[in-house]
Amino acid sequence: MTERYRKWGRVVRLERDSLISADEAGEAIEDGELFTARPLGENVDLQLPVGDVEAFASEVRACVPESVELERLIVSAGVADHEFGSVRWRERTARAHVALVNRSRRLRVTLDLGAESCAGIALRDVRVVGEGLARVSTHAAAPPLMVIAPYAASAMLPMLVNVEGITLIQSAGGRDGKGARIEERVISDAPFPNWFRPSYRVRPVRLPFHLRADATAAAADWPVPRVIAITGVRGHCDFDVLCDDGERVFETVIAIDRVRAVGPPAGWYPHGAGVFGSELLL
Amino acid sequence: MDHTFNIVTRDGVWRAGIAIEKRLSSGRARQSGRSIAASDACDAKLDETCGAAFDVLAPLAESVPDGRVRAVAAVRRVSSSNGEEEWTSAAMTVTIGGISIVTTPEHFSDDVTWLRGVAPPASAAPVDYRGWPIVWNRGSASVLLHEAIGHAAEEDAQRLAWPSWLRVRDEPLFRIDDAGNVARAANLLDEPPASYRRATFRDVPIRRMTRVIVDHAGAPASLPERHIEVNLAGGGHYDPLSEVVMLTVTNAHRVNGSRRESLPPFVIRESRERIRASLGAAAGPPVRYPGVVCSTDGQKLVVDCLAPRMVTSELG
Repeated sequence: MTERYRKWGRVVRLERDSLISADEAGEAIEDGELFTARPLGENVDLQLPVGDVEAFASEVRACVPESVELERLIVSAGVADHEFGSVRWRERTARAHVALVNRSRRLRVTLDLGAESCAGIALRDVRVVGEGLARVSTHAAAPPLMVIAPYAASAMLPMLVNVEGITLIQSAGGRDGKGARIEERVISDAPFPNWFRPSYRVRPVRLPFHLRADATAAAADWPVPRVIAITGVRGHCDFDVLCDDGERVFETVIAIDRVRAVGPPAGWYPHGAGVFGSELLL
Repeated sequence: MDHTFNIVTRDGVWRAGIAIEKRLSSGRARQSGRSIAASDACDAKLDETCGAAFDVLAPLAESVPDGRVRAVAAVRRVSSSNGEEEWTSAAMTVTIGGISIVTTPEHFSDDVTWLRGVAPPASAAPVDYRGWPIVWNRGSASVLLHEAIGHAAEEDAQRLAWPSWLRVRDEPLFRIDDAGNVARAANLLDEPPASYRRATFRDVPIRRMTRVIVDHAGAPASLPERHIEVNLAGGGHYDPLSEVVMLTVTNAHRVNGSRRESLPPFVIRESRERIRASLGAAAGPPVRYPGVVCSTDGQKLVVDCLAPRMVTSELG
């Protein structure tokens, strides 16, 4: 069976102080084992506010403490029309990739943030991580109880599929790379039900969309040390992290083999095909 | 510098000689100041040249029944006040038995024949390279120094006191780089690459290596009797923050006198400073390494690499 997907897109991206606007339209055809992709040679007639990207980048720069280096900042906003068979849909996306560095302690934290527009991207995570990197002062053992902040939890979540105390759920919303509506369902191991297509140039792959951990607590205000950022991945569920105990920020290592409680979703992040971050109590 | 960059790229993937992916990509980027207006417009002349280059690669890819081949042909034209230049590149990544090389049509036959003979041993016992001198054969030292010197130079890392006999230069073969500047060679021991490159019309041009030539002048030439011999690396990474180089070695032997043992793939992870301190000897002229596909900020580019046989003393 031949499957044909088409995309018309316009994106504006700020990267290395250059502002790039790119228009493109292309199609991908899957015919049995063979995947082909080519430009359509059509004009793209989509509107996009260019100023949003530059203004948002300025806001990011403004909330990074002086002692912390903004190593990378890439901000983009785009709009795209998709067509698969007889289904046609439109998506608006905004993304920010931020790499913050504490050079003296040789620590780097990367944040990938996303929403439908730059205005929808919360800067809270950049502020928290920036301030944490500025304050980090020592190494310490992992506390017996701690809560992982939603941003850090969102980056860990796809790795926690078989960890005790956590149930992963695909959240409903939008369409996948083959035009199918994304529906809510419990996620265990692959194969996943929906197709992710980040570009028309790449063969779609099965991934869970808008992944979240099933909440087990109505509110999450646990008064314990807080893991605010991941600085390295050591193994499947082992991470180098920054932890804030209220008095100091320290580097530590955590190994997640059990989650005691999960708070409600507190933000969407563009890891894979999307992940909601929640507070996780370890 | 204000310039216009046009590119057409064709790439394909073959598995066991059967095409499973084919792509055509075309586009134009017009840069004025810090603004770049990009679209997927197709230049008919570049498309024709690219098609001819790709037609050379396709039958070679089909001739590999026992592996996977990715072939890429790209033709770009850059116009600026420095003039105009077209540049064609063609490369193939061939994977057989889990080991990959990057090759070109002129080296394809020799490289694939060699690759078929280097399947790693079945043993998965971890290799501890520490405590063993390493002899870097077949130009593989260029990959180590591409990471430790080239990428460090791209990131404006602090200069180190490399051995006085060492030479590491980036020598692009094109006249005008991807940002419209006149290209020139750069001494990577003292400066970053002088040329800007970009992978696609959607990308920002950034300073990148093009053709890294490692050489020596009057280096010690002693070869240790007991050593690890490295022939091929599967991938490398340099972290500018920790200044640590990570290199996955995919073909190597442990040599101890007359005893020669094939090693499974292993990872070398060392600081730039430790690599500098370990460089002990070099012999012969630079020889071509079968290619490096190098990624920075998601832009994957082929970087040609050459190096003489080199020796590092015990790392770690």
